[in-house]
Amino acid sequence: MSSWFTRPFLALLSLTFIFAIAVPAYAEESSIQSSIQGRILELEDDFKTLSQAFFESELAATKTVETLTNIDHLARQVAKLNQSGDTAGAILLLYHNQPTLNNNIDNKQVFEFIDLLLSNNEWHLASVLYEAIEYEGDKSLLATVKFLFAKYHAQRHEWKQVHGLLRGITTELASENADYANLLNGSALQYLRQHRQAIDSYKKIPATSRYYSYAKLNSAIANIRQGWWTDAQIAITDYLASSGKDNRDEMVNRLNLVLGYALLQREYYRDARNAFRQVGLESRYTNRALLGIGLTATSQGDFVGGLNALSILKDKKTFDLSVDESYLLVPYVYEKLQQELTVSASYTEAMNYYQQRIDKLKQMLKSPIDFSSVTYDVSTSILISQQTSLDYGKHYPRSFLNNYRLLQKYASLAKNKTLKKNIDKSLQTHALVFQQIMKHLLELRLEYLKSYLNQSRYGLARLYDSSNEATQ
Amino acid sequence: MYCGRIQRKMFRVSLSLLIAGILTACNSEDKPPSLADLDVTNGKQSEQKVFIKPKSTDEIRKAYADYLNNADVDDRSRIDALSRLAELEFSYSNKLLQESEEQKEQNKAAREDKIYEARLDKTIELLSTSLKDYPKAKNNDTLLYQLAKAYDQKGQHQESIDTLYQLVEKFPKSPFYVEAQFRIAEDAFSLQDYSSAEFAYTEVIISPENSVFYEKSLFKRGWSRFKQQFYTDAVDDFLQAVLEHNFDEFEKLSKSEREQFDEYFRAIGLAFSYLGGSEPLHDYFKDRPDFLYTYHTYSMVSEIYLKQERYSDAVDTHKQFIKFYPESDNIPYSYLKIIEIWKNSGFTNKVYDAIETFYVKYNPSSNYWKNQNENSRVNRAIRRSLKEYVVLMTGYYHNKFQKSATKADYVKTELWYQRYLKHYSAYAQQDNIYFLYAELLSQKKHYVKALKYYELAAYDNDLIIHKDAAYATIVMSDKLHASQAKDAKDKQYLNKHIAYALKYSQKYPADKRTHQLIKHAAELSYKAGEYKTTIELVDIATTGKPVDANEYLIMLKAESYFNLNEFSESESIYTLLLANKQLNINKRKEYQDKLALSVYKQAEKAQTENNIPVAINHFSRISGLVPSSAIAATGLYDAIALNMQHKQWANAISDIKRFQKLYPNNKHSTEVSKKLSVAYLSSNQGIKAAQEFEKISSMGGDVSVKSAALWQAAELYEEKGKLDDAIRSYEEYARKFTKPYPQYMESMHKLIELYSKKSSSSGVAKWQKQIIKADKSALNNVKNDRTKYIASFAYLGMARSEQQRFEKIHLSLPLKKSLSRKKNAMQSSVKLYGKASKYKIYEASTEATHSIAMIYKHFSKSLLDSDRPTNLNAEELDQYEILLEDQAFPFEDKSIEFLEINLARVKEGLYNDWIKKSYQQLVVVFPVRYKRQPKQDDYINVMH
Repeated sequence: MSSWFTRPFLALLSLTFIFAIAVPAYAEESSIQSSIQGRILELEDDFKTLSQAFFESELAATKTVETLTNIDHLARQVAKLNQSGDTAGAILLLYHNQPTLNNNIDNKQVFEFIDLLLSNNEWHLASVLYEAIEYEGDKSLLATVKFLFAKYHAQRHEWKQVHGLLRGITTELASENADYANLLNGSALQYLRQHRQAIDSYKKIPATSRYYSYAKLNSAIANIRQGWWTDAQIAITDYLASSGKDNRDEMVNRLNLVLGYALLQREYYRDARNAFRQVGLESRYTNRALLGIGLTATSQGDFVGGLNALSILKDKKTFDLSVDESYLLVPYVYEKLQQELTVSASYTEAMNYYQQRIDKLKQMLKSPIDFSSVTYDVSTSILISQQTSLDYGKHYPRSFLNNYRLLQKYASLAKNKTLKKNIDKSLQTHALVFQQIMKHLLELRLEYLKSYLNQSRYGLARLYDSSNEATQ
Repeated sequence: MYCGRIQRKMFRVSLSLLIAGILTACNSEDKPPSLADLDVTNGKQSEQKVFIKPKSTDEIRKAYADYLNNADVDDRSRIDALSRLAELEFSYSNKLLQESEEQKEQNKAAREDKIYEARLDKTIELLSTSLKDYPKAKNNDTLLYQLAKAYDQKGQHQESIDTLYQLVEKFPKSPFYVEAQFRIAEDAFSLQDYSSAEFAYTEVIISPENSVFYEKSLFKRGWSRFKQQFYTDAVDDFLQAVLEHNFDEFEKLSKSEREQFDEYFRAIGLAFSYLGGSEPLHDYFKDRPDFLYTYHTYSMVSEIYLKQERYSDAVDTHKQFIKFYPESDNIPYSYLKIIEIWKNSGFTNKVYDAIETFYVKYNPSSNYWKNQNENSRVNRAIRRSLKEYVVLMTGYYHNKFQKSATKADYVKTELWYQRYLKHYSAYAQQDNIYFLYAELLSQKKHYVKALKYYELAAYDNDLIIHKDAAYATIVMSDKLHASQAKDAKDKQYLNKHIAYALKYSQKYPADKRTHQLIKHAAELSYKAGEYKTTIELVDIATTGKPVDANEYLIMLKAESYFNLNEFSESESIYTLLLANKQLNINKRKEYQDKLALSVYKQAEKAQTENNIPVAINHFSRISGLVPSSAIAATGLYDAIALNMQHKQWANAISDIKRFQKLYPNNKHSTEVSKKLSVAYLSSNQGIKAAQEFEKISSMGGDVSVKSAALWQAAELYEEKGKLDDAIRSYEEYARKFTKPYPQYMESMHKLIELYSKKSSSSGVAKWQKQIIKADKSALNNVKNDRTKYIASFAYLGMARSEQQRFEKIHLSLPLKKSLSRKKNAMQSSVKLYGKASKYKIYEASTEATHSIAMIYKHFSKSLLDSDRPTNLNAEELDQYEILLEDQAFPFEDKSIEFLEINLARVKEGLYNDWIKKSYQQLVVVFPVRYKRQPKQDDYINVMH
């Protein structure tokens, strides 16, 4: 009887990682996810109202806010507060000095203020300034403010808005901003599934730009999405060869990972393995690359090499998806080596591991997870809780976490009782939604683990079956 | 454990690589460590394979069950596991069943059955209990499904269906709903409850997530409606099922797909046939001009009619299609179907009419082919079928013509053949059309044309690809050749006939017709002077076969070789023929002559090539091979001649002797004997030569030859010192050949010489007399100087003899008597010398004159020296002396006179020994005159 671990299975398995690192997330949204996302949108609006209310209330309650008519002076004071961690104070200062802002609306400092406001989701004042600049009629100013708003919407996965804001403004932007705008626009188009247009947008970014590597990465992903594997491969390979960067640059690791999986999908195992091998030992992409080496080596028939990579991965003490998957792959490789006893033991080990992980996740599901106990990795959009990495960014916007964090801060600062009560209420809702998010992410993870557990069971059953068959 | 070993080993490798990588990283800023430092490539897999102990069926089933119990419905492996477990369960059930059969006798079967039943009962009980205890559990649809399945396995069909009814009623959104409805529908359908079935199938059809059962349900609902006589609705369903299935192009369908396609369209066709056939078909499809399978539907309806033997309806259906869908690409198929229907129904005339129509419409020269994709499926079908039908038509009309022999049928037949050849000549050999057409033409006695098509059928370049056609070309070319005038210069048919016969015989040497056709071809070939071909043909026919059975052919071969100047070959073959002991006399004689002639020709050839030894050998050996042949003697004679010419005396002699032995009466016998003499002579065998010459002279024939031979023999004997033989030969010559006179005289002269050598005076005298006799009797006109000489010398010889006798006679007392004798002798001798000299032969005359002088001198002296009478006294004696002297001196004077006569001849310019002797005698007898010193002139001396 042929092995149940067929090549398509491997391909499917590895696809998980390609989607995980790629820019767009197309996974069909479940009803739970849709529901949560709806709640997040509501909370976003809620936050904006509360934020405006908070600063207006604070402004009313605080008599000591300095009035600054000189825009440069104002800028220095805002920067000072911001750097000291008092972003709320900085925003409050801007609220207080709106006339100065209006009088100097064409001053570039205003963009710093808007950036600060948007990064703290202070939508109201930011919108006021946007309208003032729009009213001013200066194309260059308007382009810059649109660019800032586009960045804001990008954090919220509001891609239509991003694309709408960036349309036709890049020529009016400073070169660095223009490059970033093109990158952002390309990403938005990719999310909107307009890959060809996205690539055109990325092409506008020159090689000298600091965003060039990102553009290459996203171009490659866009190409892969379009089925242009070869173009993607050439683009990444050329970039890696010409950039002069090494794996101390995480972008290099990321590109190698994307390239590796792209090649693996195309069954160019030798080249894929070589790409994975370039990834650094301490990179956040190391585990995925190790898994890639395990898959490619196994596909090449180099089972010892595959076992080596997967065993290293399996022995890691982290609980990411790569490690999980390595438990399932190790017995597969032993099966290929016809070490049936080890296969049997490995499946049993995998089943135990998955069962323990499932138990652990179920345990996590049973009790609420403290928001403050989780960490969020901006570069990978991964949320880590109790050593378990969860793919947050794939499903939910980062802004929710920011809002939650800001609200906690505003709650502590709010002096108005009504306002404070409203903030607390919103915080409760945020906490509830956060628990739902965690539950959803844990359940998703559980699904994977259950699937792996069942695959292990099935593998063991097949092993038993084949052992009996051999004697017949 | 091995696993542990590998892991430890890899860990060590990884660790060392990791450390190495870190160290490298420390030492080199340029190359930071990467996963490459951990990756192990090309690891050896030397460890032996390790297998686990085989698991029991229970353990395996448990493992699968463990998986299935936890696997989600959409788990990728679930369906495999279900399938495998079902297989295991089934085999386990079978095992139980088998064991129960085996154990019947041991009364264990009941127990096994019970185990089986108990297993199912337990399952049913557990499921039922669960459903009862937890009626609102969300997975109860699964339990109901499993329960239905368990009932089904237990054979409780109705309970199973009832359970499924519960499922569909309670869980309309269950993933099992569609399957449950489908099973309910199937149950109803099997119970012929078509209305319920239709309802249940409809439920399946309208349900979402029905992909597995949708198409099947459509089809079965169609049947349910059909059974309820809702034919139009049934058609709707059937066609929807067809569309749903999304069949590939018909040709690309796999076997199972094709079966399903046929099944669908059979249903559709059946429905339409119930609806009334082509009319409702048209009505149904007129609003669906783009429907993909319109043709298939018409075709299927037609097929159904066909099965019902409603041939006209079947044809009409296609005709309707042709009528209503003139632009359809499938029109040609309908035409083809019509042909097939008529063909299968036995309506022969209609078949041929249909083919005629089809041909007119679709033949390769027709307008149809303008702007057509020739490689489209339909066009390939047209081409393939049309060709077949044209072949069919040729066959049909050909048969018809063979029966009727009417001109009309012939014209029709030829038309179809021409049509075929016009369009499909490339396949004509493959379809046997060339041959059949040739047969037709042959039957109509169009031999030239028939031959052409037989040739096309028979040959591919030089290869025979059709045996019968090849044979026909032989027959046909022979007929055409035979019909030509005998002196016709055009030999194309003959050449063809021979060439074809040759090819045929080469390819089919064992064919029973081959021998006869080769014989015939060989004969024709031989007559046409195509000798090489003749030989080739004969070889094919006779190789490895007995000679006597093929005498004629072998004879042709021999003759061919002979005519090709390959005489050694012809000799061999004639030899072979002659080895046949059954030959009649005439044949034997003929072959012997041919054999001899073959050898003779070889000799001639060798002679022409100046290869004389070979030529001689050939000439000579004929008489050895076939001595009785006409040319054998000639050959031997030529061998002798060549031997003689090239001084091969020994061979010549041998051949001559053989010739004389074998052909004693041959016209060349004499010549041969002469040659033998020459050969002997040339080989220094004079005696033998002489003997041969002597033989020749004794043979009949030319006198001159015989006389010459005898003369030559005599000379040879004489030369070799065989005096007696020489005398015998000359004497025979003198006896037989008195003419010519000079040679005759010569032979006698020779005899005188030979007898002289033998000191046979009688012999000499005999032939001297004979010469004189001959001379006397001979006419002057045959005489010549030589004969005169011989005659003269004969006299001279006789004179000498007489002179000797004269000189020997002593004048003794009584003197008178002796004197008389001596005087007679003197007179006789002088007379003979006188006769000798009358021939005016200088030598004879001088000798005769001198001898006469000497005779007289001798007589004078003899007188003086004669015995004196005893009775005389002195005086008387003196007187006697004086008287004697007186008597003697005149004779002395006479002697001087003759000597002077002789000497006087000097004045005539003659001088020889006899004159010299005469002078010397004169000096003695007449010294005064003849012993003087000659005078010398002084001035002469002075001058010197």
